Amino acid sequence: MAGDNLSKKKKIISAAIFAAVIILLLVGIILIPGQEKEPIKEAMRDGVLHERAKISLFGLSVNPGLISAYAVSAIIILFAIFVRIFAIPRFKEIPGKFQLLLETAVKYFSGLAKQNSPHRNGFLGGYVFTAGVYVAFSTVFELFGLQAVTTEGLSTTLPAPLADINGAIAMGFMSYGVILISGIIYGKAHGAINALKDFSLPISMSFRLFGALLSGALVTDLVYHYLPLSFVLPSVVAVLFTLLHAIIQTYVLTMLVSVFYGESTEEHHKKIKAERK
Amino acid sequence: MPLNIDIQQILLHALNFVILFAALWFLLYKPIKNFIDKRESEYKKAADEAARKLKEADDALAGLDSALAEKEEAAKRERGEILAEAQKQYSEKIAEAEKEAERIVGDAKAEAEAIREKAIKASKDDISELAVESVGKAVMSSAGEAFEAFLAAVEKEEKHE
Repeated sequence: MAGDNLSKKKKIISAAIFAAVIILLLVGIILIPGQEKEPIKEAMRDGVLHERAKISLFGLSVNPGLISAYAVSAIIILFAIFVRIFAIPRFKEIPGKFQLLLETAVKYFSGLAKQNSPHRNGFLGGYVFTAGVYVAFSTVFELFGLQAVTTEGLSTTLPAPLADINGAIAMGFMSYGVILISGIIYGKAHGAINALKDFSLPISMSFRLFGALLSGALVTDLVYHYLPLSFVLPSVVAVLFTLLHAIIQTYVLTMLVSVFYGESTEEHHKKIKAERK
Repeated sequence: MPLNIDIQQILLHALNFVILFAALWFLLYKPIKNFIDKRESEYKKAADEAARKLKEADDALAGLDSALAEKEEAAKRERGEILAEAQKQYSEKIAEAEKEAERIVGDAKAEAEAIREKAIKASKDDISELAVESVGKAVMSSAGEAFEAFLAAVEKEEKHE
């Protein structure tokens, strides 16, 4: 009986201490002024347009997104070199976990290419594999919050490369270029017309990527711009959203490229089929 | 340009992606794909080989079944032939036996008839002999009496004379 009372008292004291700490922290956060930082409007505008935060790249003044793109590419290529030298020669008939991961990724993208373009998919498989890896890693890249120095001498966080409109446009137009050129090569006139009639495709691809990645970054910026909100929405949620985002964007872009590529190269294969018959 | 679009940076992004594509193509995608394709082709080859051997085994089994059926058929046919032959031989033997039996019975009958006839004849002879003998005896006995009577009569007559 006495033990029960003691335990109850202990619980009440613990709860009171916990509540007091929370209240003190909240009071401190609200009352103590933070460091001077840029207003939210400017932060958001710069997040979209990257007009102020420029970084010098061999004398060129470029957006931080381009530096991110090069950083992501460098990391991926280094990883690929290590895998090529140390892992691939040791591949076994019955794969281990790492080998299985790599094989699954390659098989997923080559399967996607084969499913949408059954006859001409060698190049497409490699393209969607690269695009998928790039989109996924570049989206996750923003989580690391790597810092770079702007031309003004300030520190800026490197964003996801595709949150930079130039990166998204490059990706969209290159994907369209692959579809159009393959359509001309394999689908001849019909393939070219097929690809050309979807002239809005590069714009929609570019802005879909840009909008999707930017919106995620902006919402995260907006939420975490105010310190108290970061308690309401724990950072783990932002991480999970980013990971989910990476998967969705990878799937959407690679799927769209595969479908349109398959459509533009379709006619030629019908002829080949007819000839074979 | 609106939205801070910069052609030079777009081209720099594109260059970055092209380099990344080339690197990933040669370093990761192609080697891994080749490895997977090679392994798949080996498995396919093994599966085809197994299927071929299975088909061969099935064919051999079907051949054996067919041969077995043929053998069974031949054995059945041979059994039928043997049975027919045996039946024929049996019938022939039976016929022969019956013929032999008939012949034996015929011979026996003939012999019995001959014996009977011989016996009858012998009996007849015996009876004749007996009859003759008994007649003789009878004659002799009656003749003696008559002779005696005759002699007595003669004597008597002589006396009378």
